[in-house]
Amino acid sequence: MTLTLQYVIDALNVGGLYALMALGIGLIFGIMRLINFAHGEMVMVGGYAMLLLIDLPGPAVVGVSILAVVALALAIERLAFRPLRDAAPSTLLVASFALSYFLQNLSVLLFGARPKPFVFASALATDLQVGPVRIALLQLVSMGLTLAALAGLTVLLKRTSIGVQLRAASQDFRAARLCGVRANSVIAFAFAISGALAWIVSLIYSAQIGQLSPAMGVRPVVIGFVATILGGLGSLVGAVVGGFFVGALAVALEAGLSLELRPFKEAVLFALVFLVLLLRPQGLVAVRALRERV
Amino acid sequence: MADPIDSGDTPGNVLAARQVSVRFEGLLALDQVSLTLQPTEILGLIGPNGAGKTTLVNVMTGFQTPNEGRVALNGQEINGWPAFRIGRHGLARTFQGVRLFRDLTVLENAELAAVGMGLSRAAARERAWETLDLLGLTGKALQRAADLPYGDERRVGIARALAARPKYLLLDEPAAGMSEEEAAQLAATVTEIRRKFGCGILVIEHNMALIMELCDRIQVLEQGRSIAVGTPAEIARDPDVRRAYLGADHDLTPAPRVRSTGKEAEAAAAKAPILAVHELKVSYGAVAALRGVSLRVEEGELVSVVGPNGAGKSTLMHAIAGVVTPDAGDIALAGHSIAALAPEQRVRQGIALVPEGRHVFATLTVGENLLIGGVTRRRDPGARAATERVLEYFPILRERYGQPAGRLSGGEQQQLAIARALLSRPRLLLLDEPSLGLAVRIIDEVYEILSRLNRDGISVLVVEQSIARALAAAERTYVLRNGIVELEGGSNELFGDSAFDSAYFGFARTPAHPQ
Amino acid sequence: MRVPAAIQSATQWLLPLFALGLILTAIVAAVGTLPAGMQRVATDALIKLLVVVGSYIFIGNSGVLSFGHVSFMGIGAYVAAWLVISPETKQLMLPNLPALLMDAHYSPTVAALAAGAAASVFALLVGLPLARLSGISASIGSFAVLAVVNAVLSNWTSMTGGQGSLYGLPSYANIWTTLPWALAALALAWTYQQSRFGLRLRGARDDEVAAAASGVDIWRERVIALVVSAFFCGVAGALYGYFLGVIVARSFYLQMTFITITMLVVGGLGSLSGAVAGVIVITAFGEVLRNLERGVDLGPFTLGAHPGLQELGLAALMLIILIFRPRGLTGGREIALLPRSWWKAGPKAGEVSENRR
Repeated sequence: MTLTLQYVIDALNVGGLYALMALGIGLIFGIMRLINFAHGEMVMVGGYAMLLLIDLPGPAVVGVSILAVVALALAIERLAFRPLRDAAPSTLLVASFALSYFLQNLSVLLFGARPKPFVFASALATDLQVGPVRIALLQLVSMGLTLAALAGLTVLLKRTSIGVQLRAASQDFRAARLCGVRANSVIAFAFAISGALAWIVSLIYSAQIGQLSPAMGVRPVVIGFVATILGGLGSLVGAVVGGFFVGALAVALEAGLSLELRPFKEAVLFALVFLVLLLRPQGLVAVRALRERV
Repeated sequence: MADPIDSGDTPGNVLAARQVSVRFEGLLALDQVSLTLQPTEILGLIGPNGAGKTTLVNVMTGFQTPNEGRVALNGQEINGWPAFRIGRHGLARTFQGVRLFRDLTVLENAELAAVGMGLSRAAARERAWETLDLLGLTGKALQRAADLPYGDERRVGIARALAARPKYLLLDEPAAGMSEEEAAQLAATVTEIRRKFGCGILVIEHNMALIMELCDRIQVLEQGRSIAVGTPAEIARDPDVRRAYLGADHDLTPAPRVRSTGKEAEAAAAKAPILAVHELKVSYGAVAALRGVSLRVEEGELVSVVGPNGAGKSTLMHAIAGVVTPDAGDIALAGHSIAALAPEQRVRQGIALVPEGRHVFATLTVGENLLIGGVTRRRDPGARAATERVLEYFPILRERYGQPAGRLSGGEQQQLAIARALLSRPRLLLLDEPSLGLAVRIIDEVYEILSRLNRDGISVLVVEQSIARALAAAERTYVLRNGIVELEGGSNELFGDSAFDSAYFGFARTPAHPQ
Repeated sequence: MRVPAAIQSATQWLLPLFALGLILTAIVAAVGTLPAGMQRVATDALIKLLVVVGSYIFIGNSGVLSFGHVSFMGIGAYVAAWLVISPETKQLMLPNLPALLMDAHYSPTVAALAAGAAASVFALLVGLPLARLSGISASIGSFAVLAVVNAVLSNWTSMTGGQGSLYGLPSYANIWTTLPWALAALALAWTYQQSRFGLRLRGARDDEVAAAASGVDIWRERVIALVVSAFFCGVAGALYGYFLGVIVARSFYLQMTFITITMLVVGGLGSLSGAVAGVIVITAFGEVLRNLERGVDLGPFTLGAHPGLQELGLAALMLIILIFRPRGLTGGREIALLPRSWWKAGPKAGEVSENRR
């Protein structure tokens, strides 16, 4: 029983992280039909930004690094994706792949390929005993942050004008423009939010693994990608559901698989993506029919 | 008089659809439609926009699964067969949108159909060449399909279908965009095809002259139902058919228009029109949708644009709203050119488009939809009051304020779309086929509102499918056909003018018909 | 009615294939006079050419952007390794290998053929479901295949050595041994694209609906293309092992995928000439950058060593091409040795006046 509770907490923790990644990817996909591989590099940049600023007081580190990541997101949009706005989806896919690679290697150039240790707010490393379970304080903080982020995003999307515009544009971009919604503003906004979400992930993720490396964003983005697809491309709720689902699955596989099979849990995840694409391409949640009219 | 369609057993050796029904999310696109195509006959399939003609062809060729009904090809049931299998069994088709293989040459396009039937490339090339020769296209054999001029694209599409040497050939609007001479040539070609290859041919067309001349029999669809089948002479005399096309179930006399006289009129005439479109040319790749359209809307007018399917009406609206970029020509709003502005900027200048199919944001609530509509005016001091005023026009929206827009009925969605457009305080309101898919009573309400809006000072340009509706509501009407304005005039004059029939249908009114 | 001879020979187009083969052989011959270092670069490029041509057979003809071809390469590499490494060496590295594989000891050529065959069989299995997908779903699905294969290769320690390397492969690959494979790949790619299979698939690339109406079984054509393309990727994997003498799972993942996709995209997805052009350009560009990376003495300046510059430059190049010339350097056309106006049957100048673009 205690073990199950432990797993539940782990699943929520991991799932929350994946949900944030999936949201960041899903926001951009919804509005531009673009899968942003470079989202992982935004996570990476957040980590390095915090490292560079580590000697400053806490709030400054947080504030400046968020700004850095959001600025990067906006720069990516303006320089790489805006010229390609009318391009074919496959072109966009390859472009975002190239961009991700570019940023990774830029980081190698600037910071070197070796991992750097990352220690932030070391007080969080302690464990708490809450009743029968043991939780790392870091886990608690990250779950709290995740919840806050999800709540904040919901408020943003439902209560602010630009948020509603974003939802409208994700539904029907052309109709939104015909109502006067500014395409550039809405897309920039989506990227900014996506950047902020990436920063939150970079904080939690860097603290959890304790180090930074140029390719550190690859794994999260690929998993986030898996979560978005499982949940249903184009649905934000689906992205969150997908994230938690993958988190739960990852923890379950870790616990359930025998020792030899455990390394294959990634293979299982991707095989699942394949199956979903084949059998239920609209994902677990989204009910979006994309059928060509003959 | 409609011919009774034999409901008995399907005799072998025909292409037959029996009691086919297709439902799209609540809309009944086809309702128990039956059709028989005899080998070596030429059957015309006609009907107004949205009647279900292409859907029926899609069902027969395997691109659409019917909810009910059966399709048989030479005695064999082909329900549930994938499209390519049907293609291999002797049923070939062309498409409304042509759909050529753009990066392949003309010769390769034709070769592909032959290769699709299983021929080797060498044999396929021979057959493709023969087929191109029949259609006079050998001179363009090595041209890339994407580089073809408009007139040739459709012929290549026919050549491609023919290269499969089908037993049955289905042509979907083969004459769209063709001139009189080209259409006549096409008729000759189709007859020649029938003679040479002995296939049964089904032709969907809006060009009445072509249909009347070419076909042995004609079948008429309206709103998903088959309303008449018979020889051309029978169909021309059929009152149901005429009603279907003109929608003449209502009071046909246009409402009297109060025109201001004297000084006011002079002042009004001196002002620039609220909308002036000059020699607009728009093409999608090699397809010319608009070939030099000019029109104007004076301030305070309600003007309508009518025309058959494929005339370019939606393209026109999209070009005015800024969604498509024209190749040539200018668009001016109250004297200022807006051709360089993005759609969202044109909204700020005072143009709002209610698009075809309404396009409400289904997962957003009614209130949020209205919010989006008013996004360009949200900082205006009178924003709240504006929303209130709009809700007065459309009280039903107040009731449904918190519901997701996707749950509203078709008529309610149409009202929402108009309300949304109004919230940007447009000087000019554009509507693209507002009556599509709506019941008569609802359409009445919608036009009632449009008249009110017009009287309150908003200029309106509406694209309409139903001619009677358009003529009754608008002061002036433009008839668009094949991408140009064929006819223009005050509704009073147009109504009852035989030139109108020519412009719209492509043939003169038969003298035997009343009025 | 007979097709005019002009059209027949014009549409034969054997000339581009000869041209490409000739260019390639000429380059290799020239490189043969250069020092060993350059020869190694050329061998590496030829092996990548095999992968790129292999992936082109599927991607170029079907229009589906697949990320999975390097997984075929990886499978080929390990199959070749199982067959070509001496049993004694295998005993040391992979003690738990099944007897059939443990005792196997074949020549590099045979092992390379087996590698290709194994990759094709795998492609068949994966292709049956994958070919049902279109567009972005297919791309994502292919990415999933790549990830699964990588995960399996990296973790199935008893069969593949897991994260560690397998050594003991014969150093059989040089420019003269790899050139025939490359030429064979070009020939087969060309034959496929000129055949009725290639034509059907390219129609489906341009318009799936019209192709289906014309009798094309799109799913079947895609599977065929995938199986053929996998063969060369598998052989390339074997050759890569012979080239390095050592194979490790992570060589067949994102970095290799990126390089080969870049080559194909920069050269032009739509033509075989594009595949070849892309490999040549990217290799040359990469070499220049690699030298810069090491730090170079430019007379008055000395550019310091900057690792990662090569990859950076390639990524930047890819982005620039995608933005400004999305159809690649060749624009999707094949080498045209004879101008169009040379054929009487072609369109006359000025005939096309109503052209609206």
